[in-house]
Amino acid sequence: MHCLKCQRLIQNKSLLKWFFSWTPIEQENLCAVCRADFLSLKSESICSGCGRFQTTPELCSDCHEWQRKITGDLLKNRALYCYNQAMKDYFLNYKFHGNYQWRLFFQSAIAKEVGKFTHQGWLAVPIPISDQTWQQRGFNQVEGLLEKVSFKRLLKIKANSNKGVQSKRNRQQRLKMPQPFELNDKIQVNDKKILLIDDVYTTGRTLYHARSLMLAAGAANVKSLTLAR
Amino acid sequence: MQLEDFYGRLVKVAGQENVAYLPATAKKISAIEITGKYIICHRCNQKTNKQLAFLPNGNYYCPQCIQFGRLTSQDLLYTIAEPNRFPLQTAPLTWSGKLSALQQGCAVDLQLQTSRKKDFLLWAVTGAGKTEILFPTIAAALKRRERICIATPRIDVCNELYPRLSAAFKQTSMVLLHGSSSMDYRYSQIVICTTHQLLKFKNAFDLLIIDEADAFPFKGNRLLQTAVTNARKKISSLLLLTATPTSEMLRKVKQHQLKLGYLPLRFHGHLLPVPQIILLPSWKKQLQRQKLAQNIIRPLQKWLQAGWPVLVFAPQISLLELLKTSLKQFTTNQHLTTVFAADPHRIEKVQQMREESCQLLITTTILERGVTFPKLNVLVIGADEPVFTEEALVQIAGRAGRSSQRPVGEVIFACSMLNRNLSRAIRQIKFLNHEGAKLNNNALSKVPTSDTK
Repeated sequence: MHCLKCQRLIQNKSLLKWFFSWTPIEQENLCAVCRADFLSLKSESICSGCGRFQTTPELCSDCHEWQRKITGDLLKNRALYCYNQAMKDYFLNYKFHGNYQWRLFFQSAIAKEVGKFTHQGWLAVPIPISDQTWQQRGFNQVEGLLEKVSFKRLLKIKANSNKGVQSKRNRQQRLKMPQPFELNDKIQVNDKKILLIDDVYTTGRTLYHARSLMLAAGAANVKSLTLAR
Repeated sequence: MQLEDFYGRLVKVAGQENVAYLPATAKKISAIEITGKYIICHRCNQKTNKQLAFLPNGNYYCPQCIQFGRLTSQDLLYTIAEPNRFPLQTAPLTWSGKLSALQQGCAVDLQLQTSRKKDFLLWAVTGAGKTEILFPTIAAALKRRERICIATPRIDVCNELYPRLSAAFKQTSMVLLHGSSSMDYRYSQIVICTTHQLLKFKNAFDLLIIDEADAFPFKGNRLLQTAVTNARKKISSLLLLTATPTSEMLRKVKQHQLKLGYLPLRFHGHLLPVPQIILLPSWKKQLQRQKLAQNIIRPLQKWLQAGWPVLVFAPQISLLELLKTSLKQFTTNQHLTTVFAADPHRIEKVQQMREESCQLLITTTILERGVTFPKLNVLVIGADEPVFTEEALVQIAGRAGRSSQRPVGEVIFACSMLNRNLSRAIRQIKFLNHEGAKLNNNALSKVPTSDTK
């Protein structure tokens, strides 16, 4: 198998160990050199509110701001990787150039993390994209990452929400964005623990909009998981 | 979009775009062909398993040529057959230099074969003046109003070729295309590009020249090989230039599919420097302790004192810094630096070396070909590592002695043991020198000495 990013042959090491583990072969899609560019985040060195990479686990200034704005607990977002240059390149290729194959890179890491929640009865809910983007891109980037996980499409984009791509707006414009989502089925949310899943946590605006909708429909608890922060 | 942009090109047009301005001669191709188990992309002609190419909205895309913009099964490709709409030129060559007798012989042969639309392999030693040998052939093709492309796998080589060719053909329209080129595509008679860019052309060129045809990533890459066949016209000639032909090229020569031109002597008539081998069984361990053996320090110090620039090759990027610190202890000279593929200052550092403001450059195989520094000496550390293939070693040895000011250079291969690649590389250099010496004697006896440069 060749690395999908750099096209080099992936050396499969520790074959003997795998042989005695009696598990199926896990197909690697990314070589060790390319994978080392992505900085995975450990729980001791991230902000406990948004999962941002920092030296101490205290709340960052962004999260203090959110604490003033909302009622109830913060999202306690868990991000798997730091949004560094390698991650920016990844999203450029995967989302914007539309290389759907690249969804495979982080599927097992996400499946493992989501699994920890679903075992305790959490319901995975991906953030949707608009119909227009869906037609253009051909896929939902969040659902692409969740192929190995069972999830529920509870959210959808409102028909009259303002058009345009998020990444083209600056921070202030993003924070002023009105509620873009609505619920498909309110009954399913009632008294459930909801795990929102998105690709990147930037300002947190999108995820907090989804959270308020969930809480209004009677969700017991809302947390979030993103690939990058 | 202009009509000219479609000449001999494959242009992607999204399904809903208006194409009423195109003439009836424009050919429409659907970008992705769906067959039973596979999809076939009509830009790169590669087959991909449907499982690797599907999109959840029911379309397919080609993952193999996605770096040129995604093609989905909704897209269409348009092309207009190459009309060769170029001005008639009587004297396109504005180069004042003169070819040596040996180069002239090669150039005449080349010109004859390309006018007959035959494929040609020019095997010329490193520093033989391959670019100059091309000039008469290109000039003849320009007079026939043909469209010409010079493609190479390396961006550095592209960048070096463009100024030389635009100086040699001043009246001819020319464009330089590669991934990080600042130039946009425009219809021009000469195209200088990387081999990847050929994917965007269709039946465009009457003369397609591939420089450094044995280099990565062109060598053994099916995608790029088909790109070459698609970019040239049905009746056209392909010209491969190399100093180290692959076995596949030599096989085609044997099968008479390729004509061979052969130039075993450099433009200044001197033979290639034969590398000296120094055995250093534990150089890796020594380097970890930031030490180097005396038998390579001594020649290095001698070179540096004499004021000659030195290029040091290392097998891995991780060794560059170690080498730099250990070399700094032995030399008082502070003008040494390192360069590697992903170095952000790569181009500036190579330029510094050219301007001789830097005397010692430590690098990896990225500088193995296409660069010329005058008066250079070369040291390869760990020459028995697998990254240094036979071709790479011949190319590296060929960096020395390229200028007529100092036509001899010294090359040292330091290795922990002798291996097949090393001995074959040295055998190849000695073989070429043998052939060159024969030619040298013949040329001296036939042609008056004033003509041989």
